[in-house]
Amino acid sequence: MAFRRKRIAILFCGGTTLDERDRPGDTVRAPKDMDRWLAQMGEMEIIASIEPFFVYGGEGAAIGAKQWVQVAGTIGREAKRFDGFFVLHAIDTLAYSAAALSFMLQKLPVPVVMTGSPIVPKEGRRQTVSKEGFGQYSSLGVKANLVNALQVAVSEVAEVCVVFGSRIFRGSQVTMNRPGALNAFDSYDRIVLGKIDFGTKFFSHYVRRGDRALKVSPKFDPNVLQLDVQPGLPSLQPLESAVRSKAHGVFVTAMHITAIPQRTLDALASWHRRGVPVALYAHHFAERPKQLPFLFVELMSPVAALVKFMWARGQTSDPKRLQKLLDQDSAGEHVPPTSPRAV
Amino acid sequence: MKVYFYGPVTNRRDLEDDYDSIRKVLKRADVWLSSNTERQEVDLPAEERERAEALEQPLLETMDAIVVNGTHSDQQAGYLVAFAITTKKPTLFLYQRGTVPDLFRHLTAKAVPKWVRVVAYTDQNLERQVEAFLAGAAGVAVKEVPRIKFTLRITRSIERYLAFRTQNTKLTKADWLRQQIERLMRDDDQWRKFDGGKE
Repeated sequence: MAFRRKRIAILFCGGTTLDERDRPGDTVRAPKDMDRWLAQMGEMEIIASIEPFFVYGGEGAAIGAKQWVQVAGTIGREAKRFDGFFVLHAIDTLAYSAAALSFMLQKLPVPVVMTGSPIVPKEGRRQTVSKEGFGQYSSLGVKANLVNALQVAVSEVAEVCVVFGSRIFRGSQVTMNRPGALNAFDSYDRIVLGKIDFGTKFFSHYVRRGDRALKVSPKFDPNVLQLDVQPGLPSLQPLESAVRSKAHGVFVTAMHITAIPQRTLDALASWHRRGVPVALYAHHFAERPKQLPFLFVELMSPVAALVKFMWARGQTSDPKRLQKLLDQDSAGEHVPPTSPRAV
Repeated sequence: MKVYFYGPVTNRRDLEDDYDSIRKVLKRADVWLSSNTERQEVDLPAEERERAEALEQPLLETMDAIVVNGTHSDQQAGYLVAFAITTKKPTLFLYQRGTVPDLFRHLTAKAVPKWVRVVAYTDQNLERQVEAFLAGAAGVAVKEVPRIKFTLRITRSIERYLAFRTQNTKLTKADWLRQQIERLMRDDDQWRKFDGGKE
């Protein structure tokens, strides 16, 4: 009996370097590089019928809302034509993009699988993954990772996932590991969506393919000031003009609310009352102090929290609606308060 | 030697018989066999599984060779062939003579590298084909697989020595000890005279 190969769109957004020598055809920097790159990975056509789309080929650290919206837009437009999407992405910022796609693409009927090469192209700056895991194969390990990730893109899952090494992560929970770790990624609640052993294996809590209408909400507001409150933080006065002229929101992280000096709370409250929403993030707030006027973001990774705030801010400026969006579990990003979390 | 054998799920009696024949040859050859055709959970030595997990390696990457019966091709069979091509893993792709696996629509003869052997088999030659692959067509030496469990109590200083000798290597302490014993066996003239090549 014939089996039908699935049709998969491959989106190039960095993270494509196949070999440390970075020879012509090893990296996709521009649309003209795609064919040569695909010729090096011809075996992917055994798994699926592939159609390429170019999104971005520059520095990974520069990927942001513009590229997120481009990727989501491509997926939204092409969703009916393909059985899955395979996004190659620079691994430095992949966790942010995975979270962004998770919020923008809801009711996914097919998989969106993300991965990338740990090899830095010639013009790149740093190594993010230990050579011990991938290094024993060098380019073979990188290519094997791509083949494994493509196999996930033809599987029965219908979520935004990140595949790296032997693990499959939910896109809204993936975090980056410390530099030099064997796996570049981990899951915020330490629970993975699935693993790759002799094939793909999913655990019970995943969304399956289904006949659903994809809902694309591609608006983002990237004009968010990020503030990490540490002891001894000086006055926020120098930030006043930035907040007044540019910021559409302020995202604040602190060890505890009680670790934020009163003068800092007062400054943040004045911004919030002037219409610049201030969101406080912590893993979990045992209670949300009523005297503080801010928005609260909790029960998700710091990456997902920041990206979700930017996405929610893109949907609305109304504080009540913002809080409602931040509180709802939009893309499986919520973890229980007692769950172990990646540091 | 560790071999992974894959046969797509089938209700065809003749294919199941072929799977049996392949498994028989692999077990006779004393390779460590992992297969989807026997039971749900695929068997692997605990040490191998732990090492693979520590190195974030999919288990398939730890196999020395792959055998696929692709007469009735499915997605997984295609994945295994693609994986074998990418990782240069010695692979035997078998199909019943007279059939044309679907996989061939997406795989030209030119695209098949030398480490992937594609073989049309008959009832008469199936076992020989698998034996030939194991013996040398894969270019992989057949090694004995440690199967006998042996508990050895050691002193703290021996344990520290083993840790010292295996740190920053890919060897477990048990691997290192086996290597030392195999070396002693090779150099032991009395043993070689006594053993005289018998098992």
